[in-house]
Amino acid sequence: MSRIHSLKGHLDELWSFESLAVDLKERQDLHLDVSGVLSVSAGGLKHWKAWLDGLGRPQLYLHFCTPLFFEQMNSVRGLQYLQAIVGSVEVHYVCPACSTELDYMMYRGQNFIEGTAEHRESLTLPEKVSCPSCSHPMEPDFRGQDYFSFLKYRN
Amino acid sequence: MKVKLWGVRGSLPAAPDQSSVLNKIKKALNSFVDFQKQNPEVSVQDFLSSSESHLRCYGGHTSCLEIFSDQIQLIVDGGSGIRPLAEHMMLGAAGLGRAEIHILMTHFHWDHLIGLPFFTPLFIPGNKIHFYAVQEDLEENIRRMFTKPNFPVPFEALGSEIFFHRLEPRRSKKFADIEVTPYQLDHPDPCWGYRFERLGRAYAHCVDTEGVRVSPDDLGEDVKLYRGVQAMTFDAQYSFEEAAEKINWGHSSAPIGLDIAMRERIPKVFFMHHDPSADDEQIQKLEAKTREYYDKRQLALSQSGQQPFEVEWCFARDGIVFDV
Repeated sequence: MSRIHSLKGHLDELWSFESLAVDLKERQDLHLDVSGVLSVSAGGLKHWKAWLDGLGRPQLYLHFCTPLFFEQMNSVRGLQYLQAIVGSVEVHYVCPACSTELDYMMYRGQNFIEGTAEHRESLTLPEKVSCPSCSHPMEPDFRGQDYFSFLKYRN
Repeated sequence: MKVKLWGVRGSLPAAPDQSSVLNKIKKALNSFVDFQKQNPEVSVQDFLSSSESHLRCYGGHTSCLEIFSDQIQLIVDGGSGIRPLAEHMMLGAAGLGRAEIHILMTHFHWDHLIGLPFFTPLFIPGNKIHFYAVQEDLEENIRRMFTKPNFPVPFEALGSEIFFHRLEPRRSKKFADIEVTPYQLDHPDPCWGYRFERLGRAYAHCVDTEGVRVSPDDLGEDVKLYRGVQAMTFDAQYSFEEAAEKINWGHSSAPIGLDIAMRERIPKVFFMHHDPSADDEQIQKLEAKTREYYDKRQLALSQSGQQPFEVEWCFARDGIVFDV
């Protein structure tokens, strides 16, 4: 895998994608770490897409997607808009016994795979996540039913 | 300064058909039955006041709006919404042939012109009608509306005196106490939005636009259309994802308008140019989806320690009036 560039802060129409200094070779994929993204606006998405077009439309992989990032992207179907493949996504777990919270990273190929013309989407949540405080089984909190809707996108 | 939106539909007039009216009535009656179970003494009026969303009608007339002060009335575009405006005007000086009327054109797509042959003041001797536009072919485009076999009355037979005026791009023109400045929008055929200013308050009409240019750098000189205004009308024909597929169709989505409003600190926004293929329920769903976008964006900004600018906004209905 080629270098992962980090996107941070508020992704709006003013965000400087040029500051990432991405230099891709022909047909090379683009990998972005989005864990530091605080918000995504519709104008920011248009700006992001225009930048990708300028790079020759590489296949975009998004890594370390947070619930906050997903919430923002899903409200305007941003993942579909960018035709992005999600590489890894954080799932929030809560302990029903002691309310301890835990973020659990899930990986493409290991925990999920998006649907394509060749195969259906699949999602395998970890069978058991134990609470680090009281060992009680924790429950996933997807913050909305759209959380894994990106798996249904057919690229 | 006040603004009245006489036509908020885009592209083509869209009248509700019988099935959509019946559906609305059915939903309202079902809802009334439920409501009455909980509140046996409720009156029909109480129910109607509390259930506005069941009965919401956005309207079907295409682009036409009126901007007015104590001293002057300005009309923008001649979509089908100009016909009910004409009926209203005919009750006053226009009906007596004593009116001086000013119509500013944004561009010449059909939905902004089709009401003009039914603008009754044009037929009344004594009225003076002034048309304004940035485009050089203003007169040609207006005259063409009154030609056989599309319309039986030729332009030359119209009773009123008609004048054509060319506006300079980005240069203001004074109409009594309202100053008007045209700025370019993003549309496949040139289209000009207008900024109206009166006594230090301003309103921006930004329809039809695809909102291709969002950042101040991209907008260049046209960013002034959005700066320091207290109210804006913006093109929201599509959802964000629909607009992304309809490149160069010339129309935008509400999230783009909200981004601009939040950045430029525009406190009041009315979204219009609703898709003619969308019924009231679909427009309501789009409005709810926009609400989700707006709420999530506000929350994300405030959670990161920023103080997001709050915008009061809605999807406009025919006949809505607001103060600037």
